[in-house]
Parts: sequence; C-alpha cells; structure tokens
Amino acid sequence: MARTNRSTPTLDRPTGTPASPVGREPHPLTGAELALIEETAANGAAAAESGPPAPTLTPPGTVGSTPAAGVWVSGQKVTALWADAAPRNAWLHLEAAGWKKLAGLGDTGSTAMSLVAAHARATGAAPVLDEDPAGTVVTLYVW
Amino acid sequence: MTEDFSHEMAAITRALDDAGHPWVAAENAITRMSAEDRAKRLGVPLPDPATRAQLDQRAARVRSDLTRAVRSAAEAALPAAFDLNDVGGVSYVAGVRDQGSCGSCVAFGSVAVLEGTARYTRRTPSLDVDLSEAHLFYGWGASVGRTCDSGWLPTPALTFCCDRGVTYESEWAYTPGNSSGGSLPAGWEQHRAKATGLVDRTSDVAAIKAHLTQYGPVTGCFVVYTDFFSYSSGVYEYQTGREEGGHCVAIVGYDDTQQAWIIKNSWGTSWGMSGFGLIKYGQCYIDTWSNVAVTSVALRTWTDPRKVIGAYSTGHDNNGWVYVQDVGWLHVGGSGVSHVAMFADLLTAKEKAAYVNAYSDDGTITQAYCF
Repeated sequence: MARTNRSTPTLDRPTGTPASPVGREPHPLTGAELALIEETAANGAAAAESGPPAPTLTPPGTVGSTPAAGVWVSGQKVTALWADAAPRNAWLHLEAAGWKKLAGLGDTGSTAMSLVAAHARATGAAPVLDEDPAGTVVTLYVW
Repeated sequence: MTEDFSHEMAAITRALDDAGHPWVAAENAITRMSAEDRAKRLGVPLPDPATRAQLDQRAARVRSDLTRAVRSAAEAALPAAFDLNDVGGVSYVAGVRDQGSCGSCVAFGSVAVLEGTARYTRRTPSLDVDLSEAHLFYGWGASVGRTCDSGWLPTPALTFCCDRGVTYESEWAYTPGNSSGGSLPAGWEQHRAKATGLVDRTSDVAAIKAHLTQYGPVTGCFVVYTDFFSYSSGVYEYQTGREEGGHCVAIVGYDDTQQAWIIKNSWGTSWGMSGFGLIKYGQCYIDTWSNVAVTSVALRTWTDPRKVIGAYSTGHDNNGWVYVQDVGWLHVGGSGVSHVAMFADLLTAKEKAAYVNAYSDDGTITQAYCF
C-alpha cells in the first residue's frame, strides 16, 4: 500500500460529513503493511529502551491529584475527530485550541491515542493534554 | 489485672508521679495476662553484650543530637511532624492487629511496612492489600528456623519479602502459633506482594523521617521494659521495671514537638492509643537497633470490582494506562492488537461507569473483565 500524502483536517468547524472517504474495511495484511508494522516495532523497541513515560497526574478527587498547570492544555472538550487513510494521521479538535494532531510513535500507540481521544469525545470529558513544540499532542489524560 | 502486675503497676504509678506524668499507664489486655504470656509477645532476640554496647553508643548520640540547636540541612527540610495515619486527612495505615501468644512481632512490623508502603507510594488509601503475616513467619521464618519462641529480626524478614514475596491474608490467615494448621496454597505466587528497594535507615533519624515522608513505614526494634506493657497514652520513655525482652513495631510517623516516633504495635487495640503509641526519640533503641524499610511494593492480584476513572496515552506503542479506583494507575499489558483490545475494553467500561476486574501482574493488566 503506497503511503498517501499526509493531509490535514480542512474544516474549521466539525460539521456535516467527513471531507474524505471513509477508511477501508478490515482486510488481511499485505506484505507492505507487514513491513510497515515491523518498522513500527523497531521504532517501538528503540523507544522502549528509554522507556515510555508513565502517568504522573491522577484523577480529580483522588488523593494526590495534581491539577494541570503550565504548558498543559485542559478544560476544553473534544468537539471533533478526524483521520484519513494514511497511517498515524489522527487528529482531535478542541473547543478553543482547534485541531491538534495526535502523536503516533507506532501504530499501536497512534491507535491508543485515537481511542482515548474518541473516548473523550464520547463522554464529553475535557482531556488534559501536553503537546510538543510542533503542536502535536504527546500526552493525553481523560478523566 | 493479675496479682504480679498489680505490684508492677504500683511501682509504675509511683515512677510516673515522680517524673511529672510524662505518659499515662493503664490496665489493658496485656497487663491482665500472666508474665509468661506477656513474654511470648516479645519476638526479637535481645542483643548480645557487644552489640548492646554499640546500641548504647548510638542511642546516646541520638539523644545528644536532639539537643543541638542547628539541625542538618536534610532534617531542616522535613516537616516538623508527619503521620501516615493522617496525611491531609487520609490514613494509609491498615488496622491494628494482634499477634497473640507468639513471638511473631517482626512479621507484623514487616507486613505493616509493606502494606503502608504499597498504599502510600500509590497514594491509594483504600488499596486492598491485606498481607499474610502467617506466610512471612510460619512460612519464610520457619524455613530458616524461626519459631514463636525464637523470634526474628526485620532485615531477614524483609529480605524474604523482596526476594520471594509474601501472599495475601486470604490465602493463609494468621493464628497464633498457626493453631489453625494453615499452610501456603499452591499457586500463591499469582496472588502476592513483592517488595523492592530494601533500605537500612538504622541510627539515622533524619533518614528515618525522610523515608516515612517519601515511601512509608519503617520497622523499629526496641527493648521492652515492664512499664511498657501498661502504656496507655503520652510519650513513652522508660521509667521503671526490668528488661522483659525485645520487640518489633512499625514506625508510621514522628512529631518533633513531642520528640517522639509514632508506632503501630501488634498487641490489639486495648493497648496504647487504640493500638498505637508514641516512643521518645532515642529511647530503648527504637531508632538505633533495626530500622529497615522498602521503597516500593509490587502487587500481583485480581482487583476487586472497581471502576476505571482515568485513561492515559502518549503515542508510544503499548503505553496505554488506566486509573482503577482505589488501585491507582495500571499499565495495560499485551502487545499490538492485544494491547489495543484490552485498552478498548477498559475505556468502554470507563465510558459506561461499569465495574472491571483486572488482573494486575506487578502493575500491568494482563487480563480484564469489563462488565
């Protein structure tokens, strides 16, 4: 499967139907997809050597909960989600901050971020997130 | 009160009167026992003369340091008081237990260290972590020849807790002398706690305090004199009586204003202040004989039915986490699709405010029921 050019959400506000076609149905993995997964696994292994970060904040109301401060973005609900057929190209839309890309250091990691973002959208919870200098969401908490 | 202790109590009362009532003595379940039964509850072998001389020197230094006007930088950075029973209104200390007629106090002190550390390091005061003193004493202790009559010491006990682990109380319930005939069940290693970071803070008052505030309880061995049996409240310091034996408790806090350690004893709730007490710094070797602790406790167990109240991801592969109520953060195990599948199930449970039972293998969920 050739990589598609990584597009970005074009709608400013989440209305109507998605701007691009719905993704493909589940299918047996091709050789190219398997190769991509192996590349992802290698990337994951490299990350594992330094250890992916563990959570440091705790839910509100629990003992020791630490309110997000400083660079953390909080208090904004997820009002839309976007993804296209390119791998690891998922985005969320926050009420005031707008579209932000979700980090995807691997396929599983990208999927997990999408799940958490989708969960925030479904529950109406305002996530607490941290982003890198490029504005990509690298840490996502949902209470 | 037995006849022999009524004589002792009179002497204790006189001594306390003469000393200006530093603490209060009262009849309790311990003073009502025979001398023989009281002695059975002292489970730490008294030090030999050479060791005793060392302990005396250390204790003298501790008491001398207390009078210094200038504290070390490390000690000055610590709060003036700290109590694991009340950290911002929350207690991380499990209920007081009763070792009964057996010199198993080291097991009770060591288990209190594990349970308190497990809760405090996770900041989960309701964490279900009731561990088996029976396994530690009648299992590991017995494997190295320890009995109710011989007693033990905290360092080897906590070493077993680190190297081998200890199961939960539900697997092997404690009875004095193991009179119930309990034994270690097969498969116990799937339901156990295992400590890491065994540390020795003996004779370092600042280090003991720092450990309490950072990680949790610390053991404390000390010489028991006759008057200690009658302790009811106040700050204990030796007044009168003979040397009865050695004992081990868990130190769960301190108070510089009272110059005392807060201890959790294992003689039931009729002794002391509902089973707790205050022992003055530098008294009876409480801070110079064996102050041992751990820095973390890994748990391998099914959670009780609990809700998922938090989720976390960073985009790294296999780095999804969920916060389980009363348990804390658990890493979602599995790799690739299995990780995603479990994570999706747990997020769904969170969305539905449904209960989950998750098997935590040292902090990683390897199996989850989401109802």
